[in-house]
Amino acid sequence: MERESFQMLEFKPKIVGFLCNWCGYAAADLAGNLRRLYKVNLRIVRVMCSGRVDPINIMSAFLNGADGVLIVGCHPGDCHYINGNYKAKAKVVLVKKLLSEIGINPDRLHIDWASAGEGDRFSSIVNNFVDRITKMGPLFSIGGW
Amino acid sequence: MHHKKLSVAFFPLTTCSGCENAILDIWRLLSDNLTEDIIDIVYSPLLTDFEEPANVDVGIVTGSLRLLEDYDKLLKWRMKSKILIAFGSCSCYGGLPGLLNILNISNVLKDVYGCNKDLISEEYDLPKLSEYIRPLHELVKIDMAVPGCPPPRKIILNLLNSLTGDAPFKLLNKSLCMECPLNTGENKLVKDIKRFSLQPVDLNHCFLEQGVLCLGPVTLSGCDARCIKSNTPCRGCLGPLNGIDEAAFKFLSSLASAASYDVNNIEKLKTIRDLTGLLYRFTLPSSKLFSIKREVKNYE
Repeated sequence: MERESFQMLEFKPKIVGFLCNWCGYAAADLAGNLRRLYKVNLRIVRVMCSGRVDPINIMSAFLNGADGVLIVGCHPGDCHYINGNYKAKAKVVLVKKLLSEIGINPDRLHIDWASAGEGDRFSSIVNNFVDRITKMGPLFSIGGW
Repeated sequence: MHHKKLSVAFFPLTTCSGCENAILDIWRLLSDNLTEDIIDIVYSPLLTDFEEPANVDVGIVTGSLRLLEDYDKLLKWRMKSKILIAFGSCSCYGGLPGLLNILNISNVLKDVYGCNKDLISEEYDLPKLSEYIRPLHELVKIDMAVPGCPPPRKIILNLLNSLTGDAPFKLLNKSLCMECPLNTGENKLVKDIKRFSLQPVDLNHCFLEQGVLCLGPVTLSGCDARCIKSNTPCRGCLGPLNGIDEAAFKFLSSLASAASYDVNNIEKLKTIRDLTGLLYRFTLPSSKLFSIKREVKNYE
């Protein structure tokens, strides 16, 4: 019983990951096939392109209790749809500005690149991000999802 | 036409009185029939010197809920009026004063008056400020909302026509770009980011294409592009278009797409100053961004 209540106090961040179908999601798939471990705090949403992730998706995630949002797309120049990842990058730049203006740490939003062959890189991106959010503490979620 | 004479009262909350002035401005244009036989202004602290009436047909509320006593006033006025109209962006969305919602109100008082909140209220017996500004519809039922800062002429005329029973009051759900004289209809590329007041701008071309951020694409039309005709980009006073989820985010999204055809532009986006003030100049208290902010604060 004591052990259980101790576990409840431990902060387990909830992270929403928007992964692009062609690179990020494939990399997550490969990481699974290669048996690379990455933390389970990530809830994956597959999108066709990282450029499809609208600021409203990011903000809805935060509003509904996410502690961090991770976007993974193709490497710059490698986008399946020519320049979707540049659009994603530009959106992230703008949303980070908004977040810092209303007093939320902009590092809670992160965009990174991983190609379909980089399962290792993907797992390290996720692990680093989860560690960073764990250090920051909860945004405002306490209960489970 | 036989209309019952409508008793109309103007109820000011914390306001700059610009909305009353907008109505005064239009009074000359109306026929004498309308002003004398149909509409009877029974109460307006700015225009007349009458006592507050017991009951009115139409109550027009202007201003925002900045002071704590405004909440009591609003509830009282809701009971007094058959139709309650939120007039102006302050009452519809929270308005310019609502921008203070992103700051801590006691810090603001400290900055402005050099002392803290309690000190001001106790020593000088001044009205207490509410912690946040909220749009009126969160507190009471609003029958009509007339946005604009101040509401443009055409919309006020529509409102008066609808009050006298000729037509229902409706805002046209079209973007300002549809009536903008600078809109050429071509795809826009944002080539640079400029600050309007500091850098030279060509006034005969779309502001957005030159990199001056203009909220036209996500703002309701109905003002005949009055700011643009006076050589100023749109600040979004008529509020967001209906039917899209958080217009400001849509604007960010389209700005990002229009600017990121060139990689170097992404760095330029970082130079935009005061993004909240730009996107939510009149609408912060009724926005999703503010609900996130409020949640964060509640949690802390």
